[in-house]
Amino acid sequence: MAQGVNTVDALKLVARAKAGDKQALLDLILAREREFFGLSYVYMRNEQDAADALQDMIVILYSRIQTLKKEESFYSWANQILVRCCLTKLRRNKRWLLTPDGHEEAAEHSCEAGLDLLNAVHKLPPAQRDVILLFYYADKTFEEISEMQSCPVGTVKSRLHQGLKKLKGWLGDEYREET
Amino acid sequence: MSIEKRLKDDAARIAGIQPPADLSRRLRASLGAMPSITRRWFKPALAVLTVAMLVVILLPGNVKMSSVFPTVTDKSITDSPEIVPEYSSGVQHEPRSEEKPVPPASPPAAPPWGRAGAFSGLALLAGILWASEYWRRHMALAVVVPLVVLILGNAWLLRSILF
Repeated sequence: MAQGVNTVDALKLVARAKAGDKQALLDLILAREREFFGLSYVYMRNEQDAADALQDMIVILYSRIQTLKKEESFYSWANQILVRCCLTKLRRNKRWLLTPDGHEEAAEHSCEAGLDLLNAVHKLPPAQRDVILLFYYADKTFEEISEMQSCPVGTVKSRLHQGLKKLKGWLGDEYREET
Repeated sequence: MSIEKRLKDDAARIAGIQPPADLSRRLRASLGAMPSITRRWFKPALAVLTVAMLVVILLPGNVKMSSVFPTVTDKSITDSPEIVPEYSSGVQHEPRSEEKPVPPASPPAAPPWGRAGAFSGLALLAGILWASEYWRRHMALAVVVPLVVLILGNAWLLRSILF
């Protein structure tokens, strides 16, 4: 269940967090800090926003943890919330980028250098983008993604296939398959 | 290089990015700013306990109030001419002499141990609830203050009932 803490300890921590123990929740998140940060980073594409999204996530986790039914699903649930926080933040950033003043400059600085492929992934439709980000970057299985997105595994595979096809079309010259 | 391979390489590169050094401090600060949550059943349970304590105290039960205050059913009072209704003014009353001896006061009622015990039990339960809710949060005051208030209130109520 958790990398930094074993399953039994993680379940105990989840139970304590549900009882209102803030430190237990913090320990749960810090046990998978890098994984959470990585997931946040692939959505936000810069460290500052990624950390902000994680802060939003932990606040929401604490306020809603009593609604968590299965304690063993804590990390899956936390990932879902993190993705939602990232998407909300992206929408806010997009609104900010669309303001008339200096949107070119803002857009340029919104992403760090060297993220061409990741930027291309972000140009995909949201459903395909999410599947590719979760499958390749967050290393989730099809089953985990289908649970996170509340859709059948077949739909996840279909979205992945369509997304990859589009990426190949867009980046064909740059990332041509070796024959 | 296939796009899939490229994506995996890119994911490996991003996985190597270290979280900011102050991330845990920022997360802790965000959590610290949140008001503490209580168990779902905590507030309803305390409300029920409070109502139960009030019922134990306020509803007439096994306390014999006549031992504390005289009531209109006491013969010594109903027989007094001051409160005889007017319609009965024509009725011939036995002449009553002022020197008629006052009946001896009934022996004091037994202390309402049942009620006191029930109240104390409820108060103790409320204290345990408070303690179980807050002991992990190092909020000593949140435990001590309600407990002290409950104990003092309990003692005060018992004093008024018993003495």
